[in-house]
Amino acid sequence: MHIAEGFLPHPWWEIWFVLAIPVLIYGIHRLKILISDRPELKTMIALAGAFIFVLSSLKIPSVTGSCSHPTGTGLAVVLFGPWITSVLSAIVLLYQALLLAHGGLSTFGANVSSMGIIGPFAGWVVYKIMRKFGIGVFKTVFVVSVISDWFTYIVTSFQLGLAFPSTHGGVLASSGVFLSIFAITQIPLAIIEGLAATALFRYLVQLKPDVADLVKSTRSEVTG
Amino acid sequence: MELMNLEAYAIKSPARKLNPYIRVFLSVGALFIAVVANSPASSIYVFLFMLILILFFARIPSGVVFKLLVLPMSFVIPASLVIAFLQGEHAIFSLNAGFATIRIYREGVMTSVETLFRSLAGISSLYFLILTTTMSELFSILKSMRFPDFFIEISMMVYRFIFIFLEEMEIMVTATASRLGFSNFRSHLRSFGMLGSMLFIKTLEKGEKIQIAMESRCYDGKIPYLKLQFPPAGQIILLILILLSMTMVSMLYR
Repeated sequence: MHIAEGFLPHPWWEIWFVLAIPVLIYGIHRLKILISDRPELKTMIALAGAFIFVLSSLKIPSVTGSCSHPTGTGLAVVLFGPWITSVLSAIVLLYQALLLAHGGLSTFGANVSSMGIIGPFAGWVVYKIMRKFGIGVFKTVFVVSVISDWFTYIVTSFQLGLAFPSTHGGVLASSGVFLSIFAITQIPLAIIEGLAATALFRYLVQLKPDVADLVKSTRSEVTG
Repeated sequence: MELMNLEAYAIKSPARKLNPYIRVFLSVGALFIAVVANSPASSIYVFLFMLILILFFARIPSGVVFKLLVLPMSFVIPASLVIAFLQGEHAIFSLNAGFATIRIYREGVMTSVETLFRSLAGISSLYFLILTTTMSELFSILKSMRFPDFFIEISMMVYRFIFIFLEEMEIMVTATASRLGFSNFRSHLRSFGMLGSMLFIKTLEKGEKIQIAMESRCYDGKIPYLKLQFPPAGQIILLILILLSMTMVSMLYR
């Protein structure tokens, strides 16, 4: 996803900023509460951020003004919830713009909305539902990663479609065109990301069981 | 990943004579003008201006600049081409492919050219910022913009962890590959999971050690910075003149 710098025209990049900033402010507020409650988590949170950065730097060019790559937000959602994931994604996107010119400052709002807010929230909803039905935590991690990834790309297609509506069929038609180009790389890539995230989570809870405490009621499932 | 060394150019660049505030405001201002103006003429002007600054003021080798520009362009060019198929009434080219007719529209081509130049202008201003400003300068600026301390602290930790991650990853990927860890798809997946989680754990341990080392040196969540100097009047006037000229171009040539 990561829409390139300057790619979105005049009204659209501001609109996505307006949508993203309140969420980020609330996310920073939540992060502050979490850190003052459990200061030992600070390293872990920063680490999840660096992890998102490394995963979403593995980019593959896609034909759509942005590119395809894993998003890495699924794991952060499972560990810390969507609000803190949105702040982490914002930090990561800023670094990607400033270190790699991947994404950009004017499209920062749009990229945060897709990768940091809507994708993770979709994953969070799925997480809540699956845990309610008592589905195993590893299956949940897989589905959450895949869903957050796909939703990120659906939102990006929609952002591009809104900014460049087709004259023959409007926003939906052009969103469809962008989405179908993304789909070629992203459907398999998201599934691979999901498998890798699940494997990673499995080793993580085995080797560092205190991590599992973050995810409520996981510990008994993993050790017992 | 070799792009991670961009900060090395920033440290060596003679553009650091300019006050960091001026550098940040210049690139963000130029970017803002290019994105708001929406006119190809001003985009081209901003692009050329920033390119000249990067090449002759920041003294970045032209080969490097070319490589850096090609990278995002490989996304932007195909993307703006897609737009040419979407918008407009007057088809300038049509191809009957049996099941569907593919048309390129005149208005679409206009929009795609506009988008292409706007992106070029944006990317070149962003590169000016990247190639002349170090992360610690940016952190100081964030701090002077009253960002909360713990937010800056987490950002700095993320920054450090990214590099630990990459260093560890290089070592571990070599180790895995030399043990045939990537020989087929299944083992590739398994190795990737193992590698990822070990990477996670190793980086976490290193991070905890850094935390302990810092705390034993009286760290309490605040990292003191040298306060940035206020830019001298001459540089402010220069900044205003440059940004004014960009605004003028975008007003005159719509």
